[in-house]
Amino acid sequence: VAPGDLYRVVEHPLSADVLAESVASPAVGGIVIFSGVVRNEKDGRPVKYLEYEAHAPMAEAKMREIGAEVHRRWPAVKSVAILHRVGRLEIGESSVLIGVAAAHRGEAFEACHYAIDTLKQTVPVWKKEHFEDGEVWVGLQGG
Amino acid sequence: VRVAVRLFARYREATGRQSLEVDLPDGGTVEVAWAAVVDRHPELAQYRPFTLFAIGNDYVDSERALRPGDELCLFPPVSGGR
Repeated sequence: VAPGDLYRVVEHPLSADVLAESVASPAVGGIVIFSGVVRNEKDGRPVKYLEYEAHAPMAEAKMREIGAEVHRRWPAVKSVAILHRVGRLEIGESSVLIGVAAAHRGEAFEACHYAIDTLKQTVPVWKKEHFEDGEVWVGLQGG
Repeated sequence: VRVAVRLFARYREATGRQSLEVDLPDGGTVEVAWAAVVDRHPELAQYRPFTLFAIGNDYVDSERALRPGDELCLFPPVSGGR
């Protein structure tokens, strides 16, 4: 884990500014931030709000593994921060924030893309979509 | 062996519980524990093909033998998204 690295599951609103500050350092020339945001529809069906649930200790361990792999693949990356929010989230709120700081922008973009794609596959977080007329846990239909 | 089982998301809601304990024969595997859970909560049976298993902070496969003190987590598929 490099200085500035941060891997947390939290219950409070996420701030991209705070995340950018935490990965910033004098040797950094580019910071890429990805923010996953709650959308107002699913396949044309209006979404009221979302609920996220995690196995927090394991989620943080898996996020730390992603960060370690980022540092191994992209040595120019100086810091990685991954935050996932759980609980009830409203439309437009950020559920996940990933910040990657590197000497140059190329590595930062690539590493951030890798981090979010891997997170979606390995980090134990579940999402429940609440609609006007019902609710559904995402991820089961079609396996 | 006596093993604690934790349920998440859809499984927690389907059964109305976050955890339970199951007694298994010595050398009982994750698969055997799953069968013991389904025995008490048949509503979970349909989800077997989608289920992920974890012990501690790591995914495990269904042939892993359980040891005393293990806490087995039953996960629906993680949230995905494009």
